[in-house]
Amino acid sequence: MDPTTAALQDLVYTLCQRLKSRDPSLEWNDVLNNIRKTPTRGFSALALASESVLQEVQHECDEAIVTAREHYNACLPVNSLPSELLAYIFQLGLEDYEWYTDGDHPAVVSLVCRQWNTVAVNSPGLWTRWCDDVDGPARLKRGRILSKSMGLAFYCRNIISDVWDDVSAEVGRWQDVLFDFCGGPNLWFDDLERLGKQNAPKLRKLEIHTNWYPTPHRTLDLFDPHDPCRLEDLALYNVPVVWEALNFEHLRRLQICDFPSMAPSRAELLRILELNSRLEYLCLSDMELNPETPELSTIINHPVSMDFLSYLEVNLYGQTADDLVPMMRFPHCKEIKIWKISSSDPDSVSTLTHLMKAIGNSIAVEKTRLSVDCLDFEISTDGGQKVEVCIENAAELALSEFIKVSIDALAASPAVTLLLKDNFSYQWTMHIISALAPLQSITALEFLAGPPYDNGDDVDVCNPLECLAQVMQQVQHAFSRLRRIKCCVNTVSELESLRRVVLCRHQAIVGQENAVKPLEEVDVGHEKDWDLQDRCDAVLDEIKALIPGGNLKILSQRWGTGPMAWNASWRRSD
Amino acid sequence: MSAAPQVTLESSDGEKFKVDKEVAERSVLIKNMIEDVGESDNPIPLPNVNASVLKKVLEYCEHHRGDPLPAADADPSNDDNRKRATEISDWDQKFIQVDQEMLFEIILAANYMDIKPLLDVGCKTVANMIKGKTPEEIRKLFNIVNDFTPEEEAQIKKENEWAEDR
Repeated sequence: MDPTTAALQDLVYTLCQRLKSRDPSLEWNDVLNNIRKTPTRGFSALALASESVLQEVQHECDEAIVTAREHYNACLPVNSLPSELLAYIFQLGLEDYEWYTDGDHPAVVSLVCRQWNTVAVNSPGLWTRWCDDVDGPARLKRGRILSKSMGLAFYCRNIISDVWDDVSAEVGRWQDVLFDFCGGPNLWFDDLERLGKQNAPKLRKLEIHTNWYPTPHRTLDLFDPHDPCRLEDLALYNVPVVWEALNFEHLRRLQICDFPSMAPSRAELLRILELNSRLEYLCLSDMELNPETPELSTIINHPVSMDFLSYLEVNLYGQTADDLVPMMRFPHCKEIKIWKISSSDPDSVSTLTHLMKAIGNSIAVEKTRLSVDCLDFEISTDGGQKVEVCIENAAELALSEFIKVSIDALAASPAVTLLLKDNFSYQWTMHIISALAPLQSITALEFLAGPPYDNGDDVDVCNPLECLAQVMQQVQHAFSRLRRIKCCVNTVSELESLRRVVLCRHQAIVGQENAVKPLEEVDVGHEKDWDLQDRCDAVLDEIKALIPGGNLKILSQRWGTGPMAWNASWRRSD
Repeated sequence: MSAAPQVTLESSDGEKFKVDKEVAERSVLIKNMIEDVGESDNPIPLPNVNASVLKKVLEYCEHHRGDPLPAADADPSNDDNRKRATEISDWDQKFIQVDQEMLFEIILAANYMDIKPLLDVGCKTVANMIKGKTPEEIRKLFNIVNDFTPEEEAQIKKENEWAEDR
């Protein structure tokens, strides 16, 4: 036998031996004979058989690799967690869900490994959030199936038919729905009205934004008063709804912002508040109230009690806007933000008085924060342990009202800090400092006035330190529990006022024994360019000697960009 | 003043830990066992928790001994409850800065011993680790290998296809 024939014989023999395990009828002699008879057909048949075997082997190898990897993954610490815990972790990933950035969360975890995919597709809660901008139709359809019977949250920006079909088909599972700038006027009103009235028993949160004016006289009649809806959270932005239909037994949060012609009137708002008396959160933002209708204004002429309200934000304008807040009673409100008070009458006493009463009442409430933005007036209490009254650019009328109505509450507070971020008239500064001087609850005074206001050699007319010095000289036991003073000193006269304040306190302690407490700390801030220490070293030494423990801190600051920068940097240095 | 009552816990590897009953009862499992069996000097066996993990768990319970216990029927949709589940306090964050093996063992132990706040701390930590990452980054983080066949992977991607105009 020549070497080529021998080699061919060896090759066929070896191949057939390997193939025989898959095809027992295969005999190498037959194959060899076929090749010898018709080499083309014989080799072709052999190659074909080899390829199919190779494919099978390849497939088995792939499966073996996948199985090995699956087993390897199962042994990892992360996969030692039982499925329900892994599902819980996936669900937690949705807690701070952002529609756009986290829209792919379920898909991401599904694609990690087989075990995660199995857990993910068996976690209905993961598939309950849809966003029509993010989720394609295939994903929505899959979400409908995988979310099983759970309530759904979805964010619709573009009502397009194939998405809308899926969304509207699940109206019975709507739970948290946001329609944002959906289409043009009336395109979806009919659909939404039909669906809303058709009962969405799981609906808890509904938010609708539009950015267009509707056809005149077309309102969204979304809610049926007889509908057993358990809506808890409603936000309407530029949506002309039928206001009298906003009547939900379980409503806790309400936000309304509307175009002028679509906004409710004051009386309509009061009616809404009366009907939804368990509101805890109310935000009426950037809205001009519609003129009053005579019928409603005569019906709603009594104060509306909102006993559960803990957050109130009002940013309204229009002729009747000022009269809304005084008609509301919110004794337990923890955070009140008032952004505008009357465009028509800046000194409107009714709203101011009411608000100031609210401020006074709020001091007694734990963890209250109240800000009247246009007045730069803020009062915060922390668990009833500390009260901070911060005043900046305030209308003096409002501050006088505040003192009048809140003095008892301030007196009863355990520790009050009075912070004046601006300078006021001499008359008013004397008024507020004199009024507060008898209070034992004042433990800190902070005068963080603006740029230097040195008025030659004259006494600074609105230097609060000077007012404080005068009051401490005149009133016995003034600020008797005062422990800390923080102030700006940029003139010689201010420093002199501070010296007199500290001296008064020192003399009071000597004379009154325990009736007056010693100062514990005096913080002085001054402009960097004004070299306080070089020019006034002797006075500073004298002040330091009068403070028990010599606790005088001096902070030099470049004035920079105005009082806010000064205040901010000072705050940071605390 | 009489000393606080104590109980002894025995880890799976036989180590015994004597702790205040108040601390041990942060675990609902132990609380129920004590209630069922009554006061006893016998150690309470914890066959699913080894000593190093039990030590960490007890450190957590000791730190949180005075905290109010979570209500069994707490409504997760309630704002306050949800806030507790998503936020991790500074101390808890430092406490849970451990290697992955220990992290998952703590989660398993918290689950077994029924300590819901600790379970939340552990699970939220893992959720934060996952958040914002791609599947490949998650695999790398946990040493997971891709065990999908190419066909399976393509199918899952197709099923989760995003909107085209995104």
